[in-house]
Amino acid sequence: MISQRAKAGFDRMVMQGMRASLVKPGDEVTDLSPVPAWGQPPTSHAVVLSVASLLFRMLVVVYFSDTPAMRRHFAGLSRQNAEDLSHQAFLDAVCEAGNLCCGSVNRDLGGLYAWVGMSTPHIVESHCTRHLGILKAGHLQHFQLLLNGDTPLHLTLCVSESEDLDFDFQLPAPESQGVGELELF
Amino acid sequence: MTITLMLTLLTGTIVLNLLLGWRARRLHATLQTMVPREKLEDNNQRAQARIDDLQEQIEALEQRLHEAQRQWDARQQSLISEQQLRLTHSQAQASQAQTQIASQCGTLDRSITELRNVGKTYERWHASMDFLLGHNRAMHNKNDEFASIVRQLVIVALNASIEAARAGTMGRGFAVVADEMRSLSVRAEKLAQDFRSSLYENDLITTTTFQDMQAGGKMIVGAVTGLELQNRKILNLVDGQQAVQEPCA
Repeated sequence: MISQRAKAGFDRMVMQGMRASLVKPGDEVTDLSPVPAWGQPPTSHAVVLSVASLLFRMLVVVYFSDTPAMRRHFAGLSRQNAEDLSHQAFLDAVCEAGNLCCGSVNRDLGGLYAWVGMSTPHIVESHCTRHLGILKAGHLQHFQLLLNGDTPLHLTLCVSESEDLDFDFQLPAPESQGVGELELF
Repeated sequence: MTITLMLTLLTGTIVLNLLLGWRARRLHATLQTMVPREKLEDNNQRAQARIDDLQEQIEALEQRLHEAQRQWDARQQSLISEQQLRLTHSQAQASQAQTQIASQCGTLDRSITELRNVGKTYERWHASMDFLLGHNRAMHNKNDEFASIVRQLVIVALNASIEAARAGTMGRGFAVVADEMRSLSVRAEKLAQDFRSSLYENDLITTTTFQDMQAGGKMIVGAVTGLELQNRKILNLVDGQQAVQEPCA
């Protein structure tokens, strides 16, 4: 069983990861919140990443379609020109963004659990995500990130635990957050 | 004048007698307080005997002290020799243990290095997963083809029913066959949908299982890396100890 505060902690980690990896400079975050389950997958494909621990496994699913709006967004995230982006380069850009998002969650989990590991990204048809229930998730939560009022991005978090999970994760205070500088020891 | 002289002499005599009497009493009192000579000599002899006795005691004590000192020195020397022997033995044991630890750490280091190559198995798993997903894709395509055929069959069955109705009584038997065909096509279509859904489940299970194995493998590599660092620290400490001991040897 996953405690309520642990579920809230997972959600905070994911939303922090989304903000850090799916929002490019200049974007305005209109909405970033958990949303109820959708009837149909919001896009045609999804990039899936996993985090494994001794006590649980976690899936991060970032949804996408090869549409002009998505191309512009992910090209911007990877500092590339949308018009010059091949289909494979677009997929790579989406995988990279998903990797950064899941990596952020993985880092936060690393502060709570001694041993965690993260997979490489993999693309599946989003129809697959309709069957996430077979993973017997203790916590299944969908999120929506709305940028500039018109670009919705969707993500699903799925945590399957093998033992009870309980932790308290709070976002660090703004002043204690790093600014990306190298720390020398 | 003679009388005066007589009186004066008498007075002088009286005063003299008084002085002599006082002096005699003083002398008597002094004599009373004086110790007799015999007693003094006796006291001296006893004091001398006591001094001699004490002198003997001091000499005896000095002898015992010297004996104790000698025994202490001997014991101390014996203890030092014993400790030196033990220290030498312990140093030999410690040196042997360090050599063994260094050897074990070296073996562990080699094992860890080999274990870190577990990453190569990911490539094998990845290839297997790609193969499975490719296989699933092929099945998706076949199922889509099957679903397309079934949809065609539904249309053909519908047309057959229409043609059977046009044929009237003669087409009654054909109409039964056409209805049966339609019913089978609907069941086949449902089966194709279920199969499609199962293939998506397979895709999800294959992907998530592989990713769990891959992430679990990375978790193990992380743990092994931690062990490797600890092992290196122990190895460095042992090397440092040996370097300190060697100049002393």
